[in-house]
Amino acid sequence: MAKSNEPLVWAPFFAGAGVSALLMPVFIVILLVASYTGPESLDLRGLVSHWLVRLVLFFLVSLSLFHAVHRIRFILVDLGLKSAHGLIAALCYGFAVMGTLVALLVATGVWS
Amino acid sequence: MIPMPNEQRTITLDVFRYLPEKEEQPRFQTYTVPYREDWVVLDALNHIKDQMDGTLSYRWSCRMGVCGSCGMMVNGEPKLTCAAFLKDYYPNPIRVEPLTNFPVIRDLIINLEDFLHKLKELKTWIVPKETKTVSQGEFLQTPEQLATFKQFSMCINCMLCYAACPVYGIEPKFLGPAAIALAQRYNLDSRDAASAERAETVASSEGIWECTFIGECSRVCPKHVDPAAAIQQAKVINTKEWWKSVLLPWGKK
Amino acid sequence: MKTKEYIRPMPATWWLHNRHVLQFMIREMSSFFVLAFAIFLLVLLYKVNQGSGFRDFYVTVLQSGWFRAFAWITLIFVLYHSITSFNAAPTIMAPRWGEDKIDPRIVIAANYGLWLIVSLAVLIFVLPS
Repeated sequence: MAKSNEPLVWAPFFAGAGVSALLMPVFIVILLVASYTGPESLDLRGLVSHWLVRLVLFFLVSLSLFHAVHRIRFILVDLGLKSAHGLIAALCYGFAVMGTLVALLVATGVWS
Repeated sequence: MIPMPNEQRTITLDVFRYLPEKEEQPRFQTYTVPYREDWVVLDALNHIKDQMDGTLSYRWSCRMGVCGSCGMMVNGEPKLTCAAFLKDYYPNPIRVEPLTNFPVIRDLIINLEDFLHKLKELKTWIVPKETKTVSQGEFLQTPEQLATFKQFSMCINCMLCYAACPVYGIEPKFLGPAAIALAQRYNLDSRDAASAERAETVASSEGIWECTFIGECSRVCPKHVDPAAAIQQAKVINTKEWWKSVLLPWGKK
Repeated sequence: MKTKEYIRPMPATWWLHNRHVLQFMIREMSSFFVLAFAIFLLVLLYKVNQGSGFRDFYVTVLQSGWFRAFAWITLIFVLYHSITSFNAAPTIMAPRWGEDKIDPRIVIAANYGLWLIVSLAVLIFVLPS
């Protein structure tokens, strides 16, 4: 048995665990407040246009994606899809990488 | 209600039987044993073997929770039968089965060759940094150095953690909680020099990376070793090393 | 003479076996909602970039019952994830002070403290608008 390259995906998973635990709740709360109060009370557009907010959102989204797909990969394997482990892993992390690219394009405003 | 005198109370044990030379399939056999407040499941099994059915086979030794021999499933939970008190189950029947996730040789006896093989593979002994003759004296270690690994050295190899681990059930190649905790015990020991060697096995896909931190192993461990902690800590250490070797390949090992 | 060993198959419903493994599975299920919400945040950013359709998006999507239900459920799952992560922090870090193990409750409290500070910082930044 040789050393695995799992740390490649484990590092963003672990970082994502911390970042999503610390930041996800407050952002959900903000969006719920926005939802209940309406566009007149909370300038959501202005808020999300701020560079610092975009930076934070980029990291939150990207790392949360890596965190979530890593867990989903293992759920599927633990529930019995062991034979397709390689394929599941490829699909999961591929999705997270794509999501990160999209996040980069959207956060920098390149894609609109 | 006046309780019955101690000697007249009984409790039922439903015991897993497997006699391969006689029967193809296992079955359960019910025994009614005397109930005593201070008896453990092991006492009940010994009573069955001594007084009722000498054909029942099972492992036990110290009967005080240090040898790790008497691990079995008691009502679906991995337990040391010398530490499972009848009074915690009375008056309900108690189901006794061999440890889950292991092949059954006979009755309550499991085959644990797999575990022993993994221990050997992981070199769970001190590989000294330097060789010393007896006259050169001992390897010195401070209490602080001892504290880093002491908890992981408490393992009595009872295998309850393997019985509790769903990942081991799904993937028998998984090194498993006790083996990895023991490997960590030696990796963290200041007198040992084989961390890098063990990493080949510990940090393989069948090692720490198979674990999904379910945590059942630490919950059932009778010696509070916390193998789950050992595994997660090993993940952090190995991740740091991996990234260091990728980002700074010229750094010294 | 070696006799035939009996191998017990592992049930597919292993995660229902006791409340601890069930709690584990629920904890892992939270990742589906985290994934969905992360994607929603991306959609939100995209809509803000677009500019013109944003008000429409705000009123029809963000203020819809579907979104509110989705957000509440995700919030509950994410809180469960946060709490279980903070409680696991001492296990993963194993902090020590010399010879002694640092009380895990201090580590957990520090995590909650950090969470409070970060959340407050974000809210203070956001609320004036």
